[in-house]
Amino acid sequence: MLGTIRRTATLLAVLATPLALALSPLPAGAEVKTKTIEYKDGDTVLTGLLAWDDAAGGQRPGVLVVHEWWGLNDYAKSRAEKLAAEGYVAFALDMYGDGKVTDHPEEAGTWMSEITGNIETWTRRAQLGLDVLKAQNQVEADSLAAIGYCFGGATVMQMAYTGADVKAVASFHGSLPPAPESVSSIEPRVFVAHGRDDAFIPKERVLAFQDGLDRAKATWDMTIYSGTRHAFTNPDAGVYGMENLQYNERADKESWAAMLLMFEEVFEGK
Amino acid sequence: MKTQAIRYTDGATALAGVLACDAAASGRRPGVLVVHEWWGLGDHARRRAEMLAAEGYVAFAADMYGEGKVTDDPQVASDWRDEVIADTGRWVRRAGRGLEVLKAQESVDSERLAAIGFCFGGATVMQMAYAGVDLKSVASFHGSLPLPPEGVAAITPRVFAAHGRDDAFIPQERVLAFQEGLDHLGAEWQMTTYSGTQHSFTNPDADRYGMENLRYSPRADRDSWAAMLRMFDALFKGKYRI
Repeated sequence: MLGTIRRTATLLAVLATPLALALSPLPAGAEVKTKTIEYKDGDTVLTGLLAWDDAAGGQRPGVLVVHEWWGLNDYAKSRAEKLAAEGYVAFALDMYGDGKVTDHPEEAGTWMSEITGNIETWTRRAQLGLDVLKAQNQVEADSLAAIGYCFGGATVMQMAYTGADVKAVASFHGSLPPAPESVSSIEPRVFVAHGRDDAFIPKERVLAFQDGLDRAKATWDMTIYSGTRHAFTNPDAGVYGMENLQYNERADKESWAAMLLMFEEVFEGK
Repeated sequence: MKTQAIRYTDGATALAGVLACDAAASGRRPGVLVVHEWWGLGDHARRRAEMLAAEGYVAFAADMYGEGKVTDDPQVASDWRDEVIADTGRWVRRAGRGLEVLKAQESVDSERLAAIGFCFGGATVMQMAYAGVDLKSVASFHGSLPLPPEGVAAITPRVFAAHGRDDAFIPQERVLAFQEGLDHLGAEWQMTTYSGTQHSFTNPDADRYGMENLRYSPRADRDSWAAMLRMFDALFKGKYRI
């Protein structure tokens, strides 16, 4: 179905940022539109970005995009737009609220810990984003996935562990939280892209994570890329001034293509 | 699509491989050597060569055992394999004879060569990489993940490895040692592990051999093949297939 949309749509892609244009041209034919959507978690106002291909009709699978620890910045939004160009309806959710976006690691660390410190808050907030996506007219409500980067990668794993209604999750340079002992099964297919030289993730953590997936009988695949650090999918990784953050074109493009292939398998039964 | 049997030799041993290429294409194309499983050169490796030819590569399915030596008896297969691998120098030389055949084809750009292998063939292409054979890339599918021999300090081909999590032939410690070995050599590598996946997962006939650890996996087969093609595209055609 998505292949058909890609082939038949005729209008040129609309791009959000010049950076995205330079590094990753969208497939020709899509007419990507975006709009911000406000929603709430208690008193916290959350503002996400919905992206879809306006040249396509009918209901399509929906993909939730969970940002890095910086908050919902242009990078996470650009991934939602890329997904839209591939025929998905994507929602870049907001895990922090109240316009919280930063490029200071300390601030990011504080905000992230506020969320991750309480697993119920963490998964509830992710679920609220998924609910927004699910409620969209053009979304097939039983064809959902969630992808995430860094903190967002850990977030989608928590969604998988807690039984969120998604068919697949994809973690890019995520922190790989091992499944808690209490988790006895994991329904969504799990895709993991990991940088061999990501100094945030010790090797023991990688092994414990894989063991946890095995124990819960998950269907998973994990690719490790040599010479690759944290944030390898983010073209801006280098501007934050942190040693372990580095963009890697090979790992970025390869992992993105592998994820799209998995989505085809999961959503189109190919 | 054109396939052609090519006879060649390694010393006194007569070998017979299969060349596959797109007869409608012109100009020099990247060449890919295909190294069979421990059964010998059969349908599986031949089919892979044809699949590569359909993607615009010139592929040569090499023969590591000798003309007509193909079996479905594990005992015979392991005897033949052991004969070849007993001496690493001889092992690599025999694979190199296949590469020479590929390189000698007019349709092949000898600056753009890769080698892929399955099971025993996966180990073979790793040995070629360790021995410094002139390749841009090697790809190992359910290979036995041999560690670098003593004295190897660096390797240049990009290494691609696809591994089944439940491959009982390959202990987890071996996987980790293999990755560390590549790190020490400064190799550029990527390795994908597929859950619930056993040995020989790319071979649709895997289940027929009656061995517990051999099982075809459509998911791991399809995903790993696509990933390899993307890598070849990036390396040889300078583009990413996305």
